[in-house]
Amino acid sequence: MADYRITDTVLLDVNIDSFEYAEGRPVVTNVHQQIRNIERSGVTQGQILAILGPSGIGKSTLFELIAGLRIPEKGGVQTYDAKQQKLVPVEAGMVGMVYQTYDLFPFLTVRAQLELGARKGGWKDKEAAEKVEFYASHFQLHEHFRKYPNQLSGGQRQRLAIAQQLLCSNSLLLMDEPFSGLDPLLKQSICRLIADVAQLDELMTIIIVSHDIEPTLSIADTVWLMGKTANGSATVVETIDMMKMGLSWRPDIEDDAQFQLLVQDVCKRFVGLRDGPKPA
Amino acid sequence: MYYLYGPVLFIINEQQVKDLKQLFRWNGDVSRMTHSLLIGFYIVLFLAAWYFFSPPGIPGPDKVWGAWKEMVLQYNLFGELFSSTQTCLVAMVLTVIFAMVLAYLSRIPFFTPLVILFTKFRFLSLIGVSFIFLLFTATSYQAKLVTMSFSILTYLLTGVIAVIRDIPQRMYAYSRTLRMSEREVTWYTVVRGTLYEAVDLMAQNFAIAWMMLTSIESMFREYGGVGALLVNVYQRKGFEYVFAIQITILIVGLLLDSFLRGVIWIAFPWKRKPTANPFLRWLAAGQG
Repeated sequence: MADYRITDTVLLDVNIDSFEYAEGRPVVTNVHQQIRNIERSGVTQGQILAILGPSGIGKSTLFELIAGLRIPEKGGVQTYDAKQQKLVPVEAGMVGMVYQTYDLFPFLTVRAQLELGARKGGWKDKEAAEKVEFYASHFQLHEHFRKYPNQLSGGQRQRLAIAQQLLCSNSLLLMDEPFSGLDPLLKQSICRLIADVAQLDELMTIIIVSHDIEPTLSIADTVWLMGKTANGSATVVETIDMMKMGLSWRPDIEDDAQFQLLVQDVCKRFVGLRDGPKPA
Repeated sequence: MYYLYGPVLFIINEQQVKDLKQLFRWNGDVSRMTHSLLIGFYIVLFLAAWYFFSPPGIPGPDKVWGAWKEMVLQYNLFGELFSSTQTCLVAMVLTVIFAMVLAYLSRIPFFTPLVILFTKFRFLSLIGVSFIFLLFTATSYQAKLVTMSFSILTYLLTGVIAVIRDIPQRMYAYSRTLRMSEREVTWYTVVRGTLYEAVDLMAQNFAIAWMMLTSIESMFREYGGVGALLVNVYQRKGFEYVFAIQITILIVGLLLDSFLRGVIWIAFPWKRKPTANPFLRWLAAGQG
């Protein structure tokens, strides 16, 4: 089992009592969870949280609540601000968001997209140029600097979208359905990319919202299983600690029998999670 | 492969033999070369039919050619064409600017009903509108320009509003994740994000604008233009003159359409598709 330690530093504090679109119809209720900093000896290790649940359950709403794009009626979400060294209420832009469509502005070149990310992230002149340089090298985007998004391959677009959001956000990156519609090889490649991004910084926290069980579990160190409550709203019904189970940070995890049992178990539970508890 | 049909020797390769079979099939797929040859074939067929089988009252190509030369030498056809083209391009630029400003204003709820109401004016009569603008403009050139711009604007605005309405909500969310203010979100997502579509819509509507111009010019004849010339020769000269002008209008319209496509190709490099055209490739390389 990998040697690790969970510190007292809270990186994400989700404290949502209720969120509803139309009055009287709560969509997300009672999500009270925290993500703490993980330390591993000899490794710069960020956190990968997976929010798993069946389609249409309300994962994307929770995703937007964590990103600060929606505000809950009761409760709130706080993220760790490294400069102030404390938790601050989340606002739109503090959390990087990468949709499954890997959105980018089509009229900006790769360089301009990165520069925009750096500028909006508050970096100025020399610092901004250094940041752009760092991410361009790390994500192998240098040779594509003069290209536009529609001239990039799918993988290059993914790397650019992630790099732009990282330049702009506070080490917190939300990814919505990153495996959706991809073949197994591309899923593996995305998994490697996410694991790589997680090791960029000690405080880096990546949240993956997905219904694709196997690849999501293969890279997560914590899993929140989402399901329906009796009143039809979504909530986190269970937390799976992958580190405790010895299933984190292992490139060969898919060959592990215990991992495969876990995948099957979560898969079986999806119907129950989608339909909610049966009435007594 | 060589095929001899009467006096004509066709040299056809195997691909073209396959293409020939595809020509008459539903959803048949032919090569670019065969497609171009087919266009050439239809042009030759049309000219031959026109020359040999013109119905009575329709002037033949030789007469039209003679009329065209006379129009160029004595009626300043090129001058009138230049005047019409200039008016059309100025009206189009004005239209794109106004359409975009109005369409972007539609994102502010206070202005939305006004902008939507404006698009409904496309059901107004063109002649009726021109009478109104004559009251408010100093010269007939201004009246012509305003009538033209107004008429195209109502169509273009409808299209641009639809484009803006179709922007996915996640694009707004994406802009906000980049810590943009709502003004910046509008600039990047709505204005810059739809600029290409607005200009492309204008280019698509160019044919309507060009057709409308000749009608409007025939209403404001004192300022000239090819539309005014068309009405004048119809009233005073033969039908071959009308044909000569119509064919010229068609050719100039097609050339202007290609010109607009070229301008769009240069101005919006992110929308370019890979091309085999060496001139366009050279232009793209020059632009970096």
